[in-house]
Amino acid sequence: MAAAFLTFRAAGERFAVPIERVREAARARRIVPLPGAPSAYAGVAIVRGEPLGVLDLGRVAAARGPLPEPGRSVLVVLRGEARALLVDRVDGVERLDVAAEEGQTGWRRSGPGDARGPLSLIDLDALFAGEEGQLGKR
Amino acid sequence: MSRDGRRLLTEFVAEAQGILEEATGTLETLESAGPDAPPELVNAFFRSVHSLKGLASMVGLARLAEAAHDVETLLDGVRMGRVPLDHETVGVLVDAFAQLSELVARVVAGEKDPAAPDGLRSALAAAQEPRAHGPKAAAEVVLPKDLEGLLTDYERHRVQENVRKGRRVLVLPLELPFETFDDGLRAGMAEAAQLGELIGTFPGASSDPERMAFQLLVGAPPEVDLQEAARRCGAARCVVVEPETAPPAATRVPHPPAEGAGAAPPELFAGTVRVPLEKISTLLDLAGEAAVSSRALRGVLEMALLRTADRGVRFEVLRACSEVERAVSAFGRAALATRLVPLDPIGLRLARTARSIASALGKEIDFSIVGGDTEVDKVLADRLSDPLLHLVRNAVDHGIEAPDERQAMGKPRAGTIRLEAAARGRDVVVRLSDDGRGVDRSAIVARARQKGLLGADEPDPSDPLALVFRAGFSTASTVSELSGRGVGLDVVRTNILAAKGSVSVRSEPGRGTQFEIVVPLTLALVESVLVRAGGRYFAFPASSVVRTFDAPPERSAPGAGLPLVPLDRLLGLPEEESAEGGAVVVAEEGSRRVGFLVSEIEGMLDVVVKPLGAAVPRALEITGTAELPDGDIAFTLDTGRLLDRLDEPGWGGTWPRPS
Repeated sequence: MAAAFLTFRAAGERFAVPIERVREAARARRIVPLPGAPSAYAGVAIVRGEPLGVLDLGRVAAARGPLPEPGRSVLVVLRGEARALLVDRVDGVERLDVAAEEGQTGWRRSGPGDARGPLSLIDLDALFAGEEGQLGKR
Repeated sequence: MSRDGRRLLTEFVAEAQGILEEATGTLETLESAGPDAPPELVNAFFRSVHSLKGLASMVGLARLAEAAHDVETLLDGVRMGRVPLDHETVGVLVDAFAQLSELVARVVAGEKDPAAPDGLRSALAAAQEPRAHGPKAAAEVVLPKDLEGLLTDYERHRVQENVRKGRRVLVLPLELPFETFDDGLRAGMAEAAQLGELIGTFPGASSDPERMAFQLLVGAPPEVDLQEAARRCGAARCVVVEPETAPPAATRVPHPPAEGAGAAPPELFAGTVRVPLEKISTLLDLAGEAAVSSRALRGVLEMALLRTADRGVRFEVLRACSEVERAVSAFGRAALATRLVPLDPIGLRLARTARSIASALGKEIDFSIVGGDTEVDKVLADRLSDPLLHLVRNAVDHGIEAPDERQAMGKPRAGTIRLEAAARGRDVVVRLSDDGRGVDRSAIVARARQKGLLGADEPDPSDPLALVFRAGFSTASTVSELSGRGVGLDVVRTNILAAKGSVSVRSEPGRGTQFEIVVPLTLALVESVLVRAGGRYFAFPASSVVRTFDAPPERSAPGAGLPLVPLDRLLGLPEEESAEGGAVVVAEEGSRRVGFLVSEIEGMLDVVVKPLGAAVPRALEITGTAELPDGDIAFTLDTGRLLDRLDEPGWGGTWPRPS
């Protein structure tokens, strides 16, 4: 079954999230570190007047992958979430066959890769559940 | 029931209770005004019941909606002159109204769709039957043709009523220039209302394409000076509409109201729109953002203009920039004004409560309201309501003496309770005073010792009255039903603090007591003390900041008793070594007071606080963000939670001393 995804890169990896979970991709003017947030959070950015918690996808992914690239600066703003993902760059919108995702667990699920390399589908709910699970210790 | 359904029902109950309270006030006035009650009063009551009907059907309370519809039908008869507003009608309305209130109470108690007793409908119908001494038939009035077609049934009825009462019906034609017609019309209407009753405002025909024509229809006393009336309203002339001499046949049977006839004609609602508070908040947010952007724009332009040699261009750009800033600031003030409501409705509710408590206790009171038109943020008005109710109950229950006791003391038998409200700068001051027995200071001190609020060896405090706000304090020697149990003035103080306000009390034995409540005009803009700590900006609500000072060189508290806590360490931020030693913000909440060490105090600033979503993980002490004029972000702090944090293990007991 093919569906539309926004694809982007972080920490040298390719990722995708379902397009209906994305409100917009925006350039972050300023991200201010947020006291008490887990280290994976880059801080708070204001987009269209609304403060968003910014999760640094590179920092989350790099725990298991290559080091993040410098100059990351695009926010993938999630719909109805007050949260955004900080990524290196946005590739575009692609139709992907996601049947292979079934049965996988965790936030990073292997998706249909191509000549550009492998692609991970992000389960946003699992991603945030994992991050906030560490919140207890400040 | 779904969550939305429950939410709707909660909103319904809150709204319905508000409407019922407002309508009770109107009904009381209607009752005392009798048959010659001004038409606006009947209209106000009609509107209340109409809103209740709409609300009830919106949340699926069909039977309540039906009962309200029946009441509305009777009221429509009254407004249209079909039903006289006599003792009988008022009696039926009072009963019907009590039953509507009862229905709402049953909804509150959890009933799904309670039905009114069977008798209600027939009583309302009976009240609409023609009376033996019905209203006198009036002479028909012949209106100018161009006006005749424009009148609603209600306006026509008002014309007849004016004629019946021997008043003169006047038509005042206005021709106003296009650019300023709204001001001219408003002024004309205000003057016309002074003449007598402004029955309606209608479009007219203008011969001048640059002007707009209107006609004011006015009912005025017979002795009115026509020329003077025209001059005052800005009309070219004043036309008197004469009634026909022959009375019409008295057989005009009133039409039974058709289904849906109870719906208020649109003109009753003209000029008012109900808007959810979030929409207004969005408007305020946008105003705040526009202000931030326009300041940023000025900064950039000023830099760019340094390189411009052309002085004419520089002048024009900066002038245009100032105009934008002025417009943005006016926009902000206008947006803010939409949140403000007058305190009158609260005052009237308090007056009613006070009267009913007084009559239950066999006391007499005069309740006066001064400055009821003072406006305050809707959210604050709601939050003030409970504390004031509590104070009023106390005043009637404990303050005002019994009539005989008062008389023996040479006071008037009726006690006076006075509610005063006034704007003071950015605050609203509300005073509630009574001329009752006042507060016995020595009894308070004794009570505080008995309750353990004051140690046996502690000296008497300099201001014993402040003790009444402490938790666990209650002066009434017998706990009365009215004042409730265990809920004292400490709750009043807590509620007012929650509204970012303060409360104080003054009292003179035998002369009375006065409570003074000060709250900010609005919660939309928060006056804040902006500081830097750990490399970030933070905003303390100014209401919680007692003072600020430069940190002493050894960074320890001057004198005893004031603990100093580094804000960066408390929030788990990298600690900054400030060469200058930084500054101290002394913040307090309740009885707790702490000095927070920060690296710098930036100053005072009004900020628009944007709450951070619950999903964004953070220190609990951070409530939201505020965008600063230069585009930077400050985190807004909850002082109470900061102080709570100090009670946690690690901080608790031993106040941290910087090493």
